[in-house]
Amino acid sequence: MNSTFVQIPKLNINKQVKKKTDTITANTLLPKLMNETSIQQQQQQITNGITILQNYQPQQPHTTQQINSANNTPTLVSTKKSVIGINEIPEHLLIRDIIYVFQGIDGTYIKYNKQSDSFKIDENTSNTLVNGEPSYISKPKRDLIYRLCEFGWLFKKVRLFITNNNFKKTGLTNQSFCSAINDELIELYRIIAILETQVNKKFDMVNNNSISSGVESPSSVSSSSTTTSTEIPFIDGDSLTLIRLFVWIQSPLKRLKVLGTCVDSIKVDMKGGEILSQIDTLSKHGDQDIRILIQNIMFKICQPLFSMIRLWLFKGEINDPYQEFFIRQHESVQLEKTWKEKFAIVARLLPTFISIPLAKRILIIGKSINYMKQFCNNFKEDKNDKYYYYNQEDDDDEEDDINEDDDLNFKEEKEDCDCSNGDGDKKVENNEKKTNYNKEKEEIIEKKLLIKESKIIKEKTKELNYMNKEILQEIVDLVARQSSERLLKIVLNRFKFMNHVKALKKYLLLGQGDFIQYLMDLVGEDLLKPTNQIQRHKLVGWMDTAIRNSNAQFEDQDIVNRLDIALLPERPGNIGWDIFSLDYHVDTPLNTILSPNDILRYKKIFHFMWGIKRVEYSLASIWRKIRSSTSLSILSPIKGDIHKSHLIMNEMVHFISNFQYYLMFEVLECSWKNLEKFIYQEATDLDQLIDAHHQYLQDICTKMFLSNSESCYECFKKLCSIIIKFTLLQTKLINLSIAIQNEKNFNETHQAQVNKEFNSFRNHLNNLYQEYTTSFYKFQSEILKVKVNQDLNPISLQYMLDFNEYYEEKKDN
Amino acid sequence: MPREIITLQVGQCGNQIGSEFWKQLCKEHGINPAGYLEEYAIPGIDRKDVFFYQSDDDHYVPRALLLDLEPRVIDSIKSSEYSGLYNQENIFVAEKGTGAGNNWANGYKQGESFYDDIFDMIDREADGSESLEGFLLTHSISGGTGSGMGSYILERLNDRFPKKIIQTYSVFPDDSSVVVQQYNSVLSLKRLIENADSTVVLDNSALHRIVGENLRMDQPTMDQTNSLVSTVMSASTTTLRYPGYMNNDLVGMLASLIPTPKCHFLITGYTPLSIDRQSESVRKTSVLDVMRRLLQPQNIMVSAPTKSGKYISILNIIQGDVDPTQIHNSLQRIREKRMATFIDWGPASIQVALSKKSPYIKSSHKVSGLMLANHTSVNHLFSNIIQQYDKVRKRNAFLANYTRESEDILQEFDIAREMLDDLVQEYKAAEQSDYINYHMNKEFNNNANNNNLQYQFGTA
Repeated sequence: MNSTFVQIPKLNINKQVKKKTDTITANTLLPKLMNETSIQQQQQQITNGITILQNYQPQQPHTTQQINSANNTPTLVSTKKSVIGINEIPEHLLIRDIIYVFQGIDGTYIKYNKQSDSFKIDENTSNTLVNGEPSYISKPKRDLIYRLCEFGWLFKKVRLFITNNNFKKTGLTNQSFCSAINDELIELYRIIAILETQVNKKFDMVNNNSISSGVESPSSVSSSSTTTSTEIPFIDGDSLTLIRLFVWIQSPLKRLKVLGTCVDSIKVDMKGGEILSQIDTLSKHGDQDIRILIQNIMFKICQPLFSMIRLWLFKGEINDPYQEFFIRQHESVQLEKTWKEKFAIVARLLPTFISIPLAKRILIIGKSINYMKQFCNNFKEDKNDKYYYYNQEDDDDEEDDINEDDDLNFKEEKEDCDCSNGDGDKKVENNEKKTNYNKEKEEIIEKKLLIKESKIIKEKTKELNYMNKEILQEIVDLVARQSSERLLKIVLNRFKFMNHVKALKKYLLLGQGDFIQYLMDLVGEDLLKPTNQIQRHKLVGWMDTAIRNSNAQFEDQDIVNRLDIALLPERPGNIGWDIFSLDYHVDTPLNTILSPNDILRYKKIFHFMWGIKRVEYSLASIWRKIRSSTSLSILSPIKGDIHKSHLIMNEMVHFISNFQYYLMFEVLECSWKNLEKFIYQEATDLDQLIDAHHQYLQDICTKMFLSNSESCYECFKKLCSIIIKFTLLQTKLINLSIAIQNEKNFNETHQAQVNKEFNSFRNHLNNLYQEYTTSFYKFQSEILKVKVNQDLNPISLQYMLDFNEYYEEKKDN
Repeated sequence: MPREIITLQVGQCGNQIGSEFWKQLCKEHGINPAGYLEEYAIPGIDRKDVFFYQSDDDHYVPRALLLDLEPRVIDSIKSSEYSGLYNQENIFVAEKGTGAGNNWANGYKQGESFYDDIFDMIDREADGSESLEGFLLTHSISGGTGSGMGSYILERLNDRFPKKIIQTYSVFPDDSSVVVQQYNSVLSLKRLIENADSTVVLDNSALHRIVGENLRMDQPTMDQTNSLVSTVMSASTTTLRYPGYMNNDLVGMLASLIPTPKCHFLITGYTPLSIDRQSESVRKTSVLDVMRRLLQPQNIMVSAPTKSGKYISILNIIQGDVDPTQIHNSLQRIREKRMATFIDWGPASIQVALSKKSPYIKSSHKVSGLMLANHTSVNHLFSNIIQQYDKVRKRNAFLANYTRESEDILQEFDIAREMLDDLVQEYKAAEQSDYINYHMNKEFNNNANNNNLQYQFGTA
């Protein structure tokens, strides 16, 4: 389409030109000769005026003969016809040539020189043409011609560029760019055509004159033509001279120059947004004419972009055969990465007039629609989906409006049913009814709002173009509510995203205490075995038992089914405890939001917290054993040591429970609160939701020292292992006491043995305590380091671990 | 596993506060007086199986034994609307039904004679639970049945279930009451020291004071006091009944509260109090308010100068709508202002457990809190008892009632007194910074014959 558009006028012109040249050559020489004097005289007057100037201009060495003649011009002029056989080429011929040149076509005298990439006066032809006599072009004319040639050169360049298929056929924007430029060229053609008609008229005049002069009085004509050029009856009563041409061409030249700059700024391999950005920068010009011109061009070349944006914003589709849209679709993306990776912004192709934040929002809107289409299958049939429903393209606008009220009632009923069926939530029925009623009301209001909005959006989108590109922002704002927020609602309500995150918190973050306790009771012993003896199916069985017997049994079946046991990669020498983790299965489409990576992080956190729980339980169980073993009273000789071990145990219990306190309140609950607040109050699209969840996990990991301080984590693990050692030592003591109690014939050798045991217990205890204290101080100082290094605040942990400043005072001593 | 807890209600007082406790639990769990789940009850938020089990007809039955030597209180329970709640097999009233006559020795002896009946019931309950965590005994230490039979049961429980936790909610006597209660108290306290893992002190005089102050009346009724007790009992078990990340079992809770075996007498505080629901004055409650008030003597349910001693440990169970960040700030404030004095021989802190509130009970307060604390000043309670005991003992008043029941009772008195004194000493020692060397010093100072301690009274 575009290409033909460009070419048709050109062909026409060429034909015209050809016709004209024919007529010219067919002309009799007589009138030309007759006119010659007058032209010469005219020329003379002009050249006289410029001679002085000419002397200042540096001489441009051209082809030999011409240079001579040119150099001689002043003398020639002064001597007038004294040099026989050398005539000046008549100006109207030159003008005719220039008109050709304007269109980028070679003229008779002026031709395009590829080598120097410029139009040049062809010396050979100019020498031979006029009446077979060598002729010349005077220096002033030459200069003028060269200045006029700029137009032709630019014209040629611009036309060449827009007809370049390598560029043109690589994108819609490219095409529209070419067509926009071409439109401008056509405008220039029109001007050229006007000029040409003037030239032709002159020729006609000349011809007419010659005819009339032949019949009537040639002298009068010649005299009239010689006297003043203004008297020559041209259209505007003006004869076309090079100078006039030069003046007239200024304004089009300015435009052409702009087009030249446009073309210059674009490289052949550019497309889409790149082009738009380039031209857009040019539009920031102080000259209003230029600005308007470029805006006009932009208006045209932005059309493909805006139609793509429209398609994207309302249908979530990309129709981009040339890959020029600033949103790129990646086809071969794993299903779970659909949301994150299927569509991406190509920064290179983003036009400068669309800001990056806006582009991101645009991306999300279309992504949301696309995502809904892909994963919310019943998306169109679902009557509840009024959000998108009203936001369809204009197809059946009217119908919608008419049916709205009927639909409304019907939908309400259906929703009502859905609510009472689906909401197995913990609400008293009365409340449920009330909330339902309120919900209905809210939904009707919301629906009306949406319809209203949709209309506004439709109106607005009709106006969307480069000139008022600002409304893109408004449209995005409005559409975001209907797509991004809609998807967010789907994810929250239909996918029950928060339920899953809650479930993860309950199970993988150990929130469901009774289940965790049950599970630990059941699998605890099994996990002491080396990894090769760990049977996953057995653990899964235990887990099921734990679910059945704890409050997990009342959990949504869907969530319970997702729970599983995962065994982490093992290292040599590991036991079950080292590799055990709960798992939570997420499938499509949920895994597009809760990525496998996220789940991995959850598992990591679980593993860590599970380890702490284990320590806590070991301590509690040894506490119970110590309390309940009556045999311990037998060990009166080391009563002091046992007392000491009570206090050491107290320190450990204190440490573990306060650390857990820190995990629970400062880490889990606080992060959870932030997440909840953000998702329910601030999040407006799925990306923000995903980011918030990421941040949540990140917060937890950092604050648990899982991801920021290796040394802190190591210290903590060391402390835990010391505590486990301590519990083993205590168990040994209890066993010893039982052994003594059961020994009936207690003799001297026994006594010695017992004393030895006592000593070893004492030593062990002291060593352990020593080790524990050192590790504890180290851990404390590591926490302080974390506090200094990172921008997070384990202060609360710091002071909870030493609330009564016991350790601080002890350290001072 | 559910970590079941079996409640043993012994004697008049024990049964009274026990039945109030069950009433409260039923309300909180949405169980109606007949034992069936209310229609509005939602499954999955609470954990009923710790204190209840379900019969075949889905009737929730408390894991409770109602034991008494006289029928009055139990009859009144039986005639109340909650009569259908309990397992009738779990109610034991002595046949003759004359009670123990405020005589510890009599109660103890009767307990002994009903050993088989009582322990059949306990065994049955224990067998019915999957992983028994322990026993919860409610009684008074100054009466006859609660103290005497209670003591006997404590000793036998220890033999029979050595690995189970025994926690008691023990009502300590008013100063004003009967003379013999000092005898009974001393003798029961010995069992509480030796055979219980943890005792929650319910100081009658403090309870009266608090209820009186709260309701602005001089003589609060028994019911009003009991409702306070049931509030405390239910609050102290919320973490067991509403599972969360921490404190899901009794052992875990006690392990952090009780560092050394003997010092296991816990005092409580509760705020804001709302007795009888009608006279409730609504306060503004924030976490800091609640935690601060819990440390004020007027809210602590023990008649001991808590300002002077030291806290060995504190667990605050906060219920209600709480912003987790508030806790952090409150704790920091308490620490900066040094609102609580802690021991200096080991780390100690205010531990906080956030617990859900029952959705079925409307409360006008946003936040409420229970404090369970191990405080050294509790020794004043014991030394008061010793003092008064010494006074009576000097005069040999009413001793005949006791010697009539048992010959060894006098020696038993001496041992019990010594042990109680020992406890007082240990609590006092815990105020010192060299508590870690307490036993070595003690050994050094008085070369006591440890065998004495192993003596047990009346082992049949």
